[in-house]
Amino acid sequence: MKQMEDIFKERLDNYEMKLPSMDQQSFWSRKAVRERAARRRRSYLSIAVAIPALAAILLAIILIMNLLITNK
Amino acid sequence: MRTEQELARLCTSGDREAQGELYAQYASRLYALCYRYVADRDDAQDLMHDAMIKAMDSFSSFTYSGDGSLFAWLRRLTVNVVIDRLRQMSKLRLVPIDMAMEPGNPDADDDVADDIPAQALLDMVAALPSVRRTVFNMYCIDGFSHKEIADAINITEKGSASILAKARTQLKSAVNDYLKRTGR
Repeated sequence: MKQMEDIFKERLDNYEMKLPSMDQQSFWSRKAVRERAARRRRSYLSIAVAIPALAAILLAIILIMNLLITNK
Repeated sequence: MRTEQELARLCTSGDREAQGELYAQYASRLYALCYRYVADRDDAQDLMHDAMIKAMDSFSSFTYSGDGSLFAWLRRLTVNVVIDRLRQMSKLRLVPIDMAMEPGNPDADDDVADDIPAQALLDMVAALPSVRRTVFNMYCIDGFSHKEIADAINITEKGSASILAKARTQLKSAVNDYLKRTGR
């Protein structure tokens, strides 16, 4: 005889429920929003990395120029 | 219709059409799975969407290992998304209360549940308290071990087994009530 939970498993394991109307549209628009947010995060991250790098380069240039001027 | 392997390969490369096919093939099953855990259609839809997006973004971690492996992978991923959300919503903090509750003592004939429509069985699972529902789903339907359940929802293995016993008792009682109501 089958155990009660075997019956639950058999019947519910691959059970499909009717999706709400407009489900696909809401899924794709949500996915698009997530992708835009991820892109924005990536670009903020690149800006956050680029600004200190640029500042360091600029500082190095100023220091080198200062050194050259003092040497002259 | 594409084979699972082909579908997985195309989804890994980000093919939009294949992603649409993946959604069409598995969304309603994953929606039912989420509903089994959260017992609310809006939350279930929300979680199913999150799981699908996560799956589409992490296809590189999927390895095809025969027919059914794609759904098995999607199922694991979805259960993890659901458990994370339940944890965030603190719905799994009721464990000590649940463990203190006395189980009932009805004893339904195991075989009769076979006649009950799947949606009615799903509603019975959905009517369980959150922790019992989670443990019953993870152990009896989605094939997790007590150890995995204990790790996932921060309880002991013994606690998981005890909660499962109570869920079983409650479900037997629900089956009995259903049979009485419908005159079977």
